[in-house]
Amino acid sequence: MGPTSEAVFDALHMAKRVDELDGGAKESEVHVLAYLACILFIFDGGSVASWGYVFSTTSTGAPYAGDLHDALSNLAASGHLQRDVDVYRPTQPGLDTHERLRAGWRLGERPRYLDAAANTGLALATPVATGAVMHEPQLRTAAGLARKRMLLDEAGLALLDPHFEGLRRISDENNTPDLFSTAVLWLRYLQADADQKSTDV
Amino acid sequence: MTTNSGIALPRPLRATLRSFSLYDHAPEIVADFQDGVFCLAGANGLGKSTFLSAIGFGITGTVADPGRSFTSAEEYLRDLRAYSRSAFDGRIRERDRDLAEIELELEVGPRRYRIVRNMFEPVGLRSLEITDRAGKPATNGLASTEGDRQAEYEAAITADSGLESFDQLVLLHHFVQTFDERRHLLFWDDKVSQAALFLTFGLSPDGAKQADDLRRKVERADSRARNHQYAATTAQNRMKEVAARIEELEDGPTDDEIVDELKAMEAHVAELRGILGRTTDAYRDATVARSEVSSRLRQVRLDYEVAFSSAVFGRRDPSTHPVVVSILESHQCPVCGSTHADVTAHVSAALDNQKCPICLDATIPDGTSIEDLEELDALIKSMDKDLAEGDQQVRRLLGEIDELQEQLEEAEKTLEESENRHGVDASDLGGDTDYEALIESYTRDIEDRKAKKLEARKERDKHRRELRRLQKELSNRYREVEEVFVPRFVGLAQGFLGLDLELNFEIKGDISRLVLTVDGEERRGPEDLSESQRFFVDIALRMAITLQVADPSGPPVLYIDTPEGSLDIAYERRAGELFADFVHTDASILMTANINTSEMLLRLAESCGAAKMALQRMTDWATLSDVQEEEQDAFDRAYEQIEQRLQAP
Repeated sequence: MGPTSEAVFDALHMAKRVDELDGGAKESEVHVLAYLACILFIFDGGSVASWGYVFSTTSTGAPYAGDLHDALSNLAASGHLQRDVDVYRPTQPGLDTHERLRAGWRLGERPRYLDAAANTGLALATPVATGAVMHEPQLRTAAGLARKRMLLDEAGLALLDPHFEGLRRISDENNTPDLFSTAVLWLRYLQADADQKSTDV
Repeated sequence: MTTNSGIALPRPLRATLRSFSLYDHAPEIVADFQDGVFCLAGANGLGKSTFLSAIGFGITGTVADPGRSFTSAEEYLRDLRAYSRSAFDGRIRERDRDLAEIELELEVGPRRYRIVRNMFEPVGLRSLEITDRAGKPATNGLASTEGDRQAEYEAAITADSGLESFDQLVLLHHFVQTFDERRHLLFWDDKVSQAALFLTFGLSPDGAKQADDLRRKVERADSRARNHQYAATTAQNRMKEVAARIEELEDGPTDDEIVDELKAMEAHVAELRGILGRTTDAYRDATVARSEVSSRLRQVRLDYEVAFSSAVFGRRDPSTHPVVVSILESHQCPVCGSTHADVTAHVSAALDNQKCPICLDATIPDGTSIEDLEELDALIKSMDKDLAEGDQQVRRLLGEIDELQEQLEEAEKTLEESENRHGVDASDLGGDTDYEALIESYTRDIEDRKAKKLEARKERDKHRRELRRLQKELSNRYREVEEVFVPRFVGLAQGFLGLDLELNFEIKGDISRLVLTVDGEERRGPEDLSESQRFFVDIALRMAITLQVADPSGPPVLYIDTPEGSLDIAYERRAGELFADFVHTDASILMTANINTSEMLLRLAESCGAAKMALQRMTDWATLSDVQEEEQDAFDRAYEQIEQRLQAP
């Protein structure tokens, strides 16, 4: 079976959005930003099962989704994306297909989370944003253990709970800011926390 | 000579149903009722009967329970309210429960009412306006809660109807004005027909209520007398069989009160078990329905994935591929880098011949397009909503089951404790029992029981004498009106039956009734007539009664549900003539009928014409099933035939 429809749409959408921001989307950036979008989806009340595909860690501790990788390859082979080594850009047929798919109900809700994740590159620069995501508690634990594992399982979600609680409290105090603001706030916290820990060491 | 009793029955002028899921063609359905016949005609299962039930529910806050027998008007209304709260389950979707409502405009005596009721709230009104016929407000509008508005409504409509209590209005609506799926026969239900006779033959509403109460009191006193006799017999048997038994006579509840208390508790437990059983059945049905939706949704999602892959990655127009576009723009081969003219010519020629320039295969349009995907997407959206609704319904029912189980456990525990508290057990008795005292005690008990039996009989006889007096008064009143009433009934019924009819009033014991004689033979049981005959004779009786009752300020209304279902072909035209005769007295009928080539509707339409009959197509309100859709042409022909008769000069 090929990549899920959600993975194909996310790959196409992320490539388009990051291309608009930075002029081309690296495959590694697509994986990390899609992972961030999935976390924002769960924070907003969604379930992992309904995201559409799963994430695990690579040997370097980065998030990776097999469906996303296959989707990028298939989209490039079918002419929806243009590939230059590992950087992707949408073609006109890719943009046309993206527009049609976005209008549907099933996939039409996803840009809310994908854009919130991709747009952190506006506030922090994409490499900085993706770097901050790597300090997310599950990825940090996996990197520390140097072990490949599934992400966002029950144990992983339990690690995120205190973060979500804190973010919700701040959202309430500030009269519910949008997902983008919440994402930027969280990434800044993750980076600051990581910096603090490395200073302590 | 009194020709009518001056009771002004509510007359509907307009009904508006909102968010009534069964009628899915529009969020709001409006029906205007002119004088004469309003006929809602359609195929089976579309919700015709539900329409009449909804109007009755709007007016009375109740829906008739087919399984409930009549004891008294007051008890009937009290018991029906609990039943009516869930009467529209299954006809209204879970997500529409709070929104579903009926708005009714009614004429009652000198005043007009506009009420709005939620379809699951029998004792509350969302809105109440009462005006005189000129539109001037007739109330101060201070009622602020749904319960207050209901109370104000009941008081006002009872007074405007000329009745004594709201339960009398409910009795008349369900048992006299409405002939529905229950096929309940007024002629052969002594208790109901007596209550209706007292109300409608000129006895004051207060007197009718008194008669209803007295009949109930006679029944209860008689029942108590029988209980005392039974208890005395049991005590005698005990005295003979078990010398060691002791009956505690404490200060506290009397034996009568104990028996009543235990019976009430047992009835409450039985009722809770019944409701729990029905709710559990509903939960099971909801779970099965939800599982089915879930299973179908899963399949549709799989179909979507396959279609998605085909639409996005399937065969596509090669002229849009970036490699082909690049070749045509740059005139350069992307493989070897050559820039000669043949590169572009070769590619253009293949495209012009509808072939792929790489593999030279014909460019056949792909089987799946993004449009197909959009259709599946819309289906998934709809099914997701259904699933969420199913989840909500299952959760709600589970909550209700938990609550009911708690209540049932509590009720059973209370009953058991009460039984234990009032019971006697021979093993509790010790060696010091004074058997003489015990025997003496039993003897006293037996004497006491006999005395109470006599007392209960005296009370019964007292109430009975009073009831007899009222029955005599009823009999005298009947004599005054029978010169008008009997010919009216016979005229209506004889036209249908085609047989000689007589109607007589008799008092037998505690029951006053009308006795029908056909061709010289009394027909005391419903089985003495064919199904068609007994149903339509009963309808003729209701017609005669409502004409007798009607206040001059407003013509009477009958509510009749698919009467042709009970008809032999031989009687179809006659049934149509019966209804037409009724309507030509300025009365009105709100009816439903199956849409077929029945002569009943055709005859009725021919006689009434468009001035006196409005035909409403059920297909304007509700969606046909697949099987019914196949017969749409036949339905349309049947409708057109009736509409032609309406328009004929």
